[in-house]
Amino acid sequence: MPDVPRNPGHDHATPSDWHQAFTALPVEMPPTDGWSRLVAALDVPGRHAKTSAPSPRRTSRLTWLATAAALLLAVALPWRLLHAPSNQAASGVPVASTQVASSADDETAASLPSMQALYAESAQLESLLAFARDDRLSSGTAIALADQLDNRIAAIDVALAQPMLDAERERILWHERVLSLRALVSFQSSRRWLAVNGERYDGVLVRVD
Amino acid sequence: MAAHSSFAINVPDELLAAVQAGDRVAFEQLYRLFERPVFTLALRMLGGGNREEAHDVLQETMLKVLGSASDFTARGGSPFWGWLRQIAVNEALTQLRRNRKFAHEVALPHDEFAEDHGPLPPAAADAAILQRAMSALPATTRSVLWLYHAEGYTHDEIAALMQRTPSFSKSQLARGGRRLRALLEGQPEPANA
Repeated sequence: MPDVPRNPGHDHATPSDWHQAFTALPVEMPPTDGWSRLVAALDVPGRHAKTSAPSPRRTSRLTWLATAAALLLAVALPWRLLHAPSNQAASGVPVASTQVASSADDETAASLPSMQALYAESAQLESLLAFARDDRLSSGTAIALADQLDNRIAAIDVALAQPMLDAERERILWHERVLSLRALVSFQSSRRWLAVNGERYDGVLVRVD
Repeated sequence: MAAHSSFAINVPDELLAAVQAGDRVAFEQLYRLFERPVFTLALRMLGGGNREEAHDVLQETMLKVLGSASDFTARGGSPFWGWLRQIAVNEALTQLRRNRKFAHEVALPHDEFAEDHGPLPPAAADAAILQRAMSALPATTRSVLWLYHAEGYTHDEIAALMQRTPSFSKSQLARGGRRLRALLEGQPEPANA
């Protein structure tokens, strides 16, 4: 695991200023029925909304389609990560790439958020993950998938801890860390949502695959 | 604006266009993108115990976003998330005014503007302690602190939002920082706070 301040999401070091303290606070979860209450408000006669109020049956179908799309995203992202080419050496220990960055990589690194932004989002996602993760709700398959994502993040952390890591590579790795965390948070959140609604993640995997 | 805000979410042009065209499925996607940042902002400004009011702010914000999405144009590269955040901040401030939270808070003349840039108390690293301390602050002070430090608003912008002067924002920031520090350190507040 990288040292502070490369990995602010894993330690409890005193924040250096109020900005860091505030942005490290966990994102709050709104009520789970927020969307349905909003839809109900939209469908109130006389409400000034630019969308026409759909019928209840259409609303139900649209809600199902939107939910299915969100679940598909939650599944597809982790599966893409699982099957993405890795940087692991033959020994299985991930190493920082020693390849000279191509011009495309340069442009990519330059277009990434700042390091401070990546630190802040990483910390926020870690906090969200702490809330979303609940292995009591898991099947073996789901745990295995979550483990794969955790291992990917751990591999990135090991790569970040490599000595003589150049700034561009570091920024790219941090960005990958944030993307991996997003996928893991999305996956864990969807799994909890399914569990709350009496469904199993394995069933979704079977339908999608 | 701050280098990073939880609102800084890139909304694809296609999604925005669909929302502007009245596509409710697209609107739900937009809602899902921003429900946590909006709710969090509202909760931080209203105080941690006001979850139902924070949800009202979320609801009103998204209704306003939907109602006026077609009016948004990315002039000068201004992002959609900045426009949406502005609506959320205004709704939170409206809720505070509705609760008469601003009624008895006035700017102290010749207040100290100097901020304390010393190391933060260790308790600042504890999310629960920090949130409790923030909830103990007056609503105006808390709002200024959050808008300035977490969301990166300038004093001029905060002044415009709150219909006050930049001096008021600066004094609230200075006082708020001192009070928050004192709360976290568990010590009595400074005499001039």
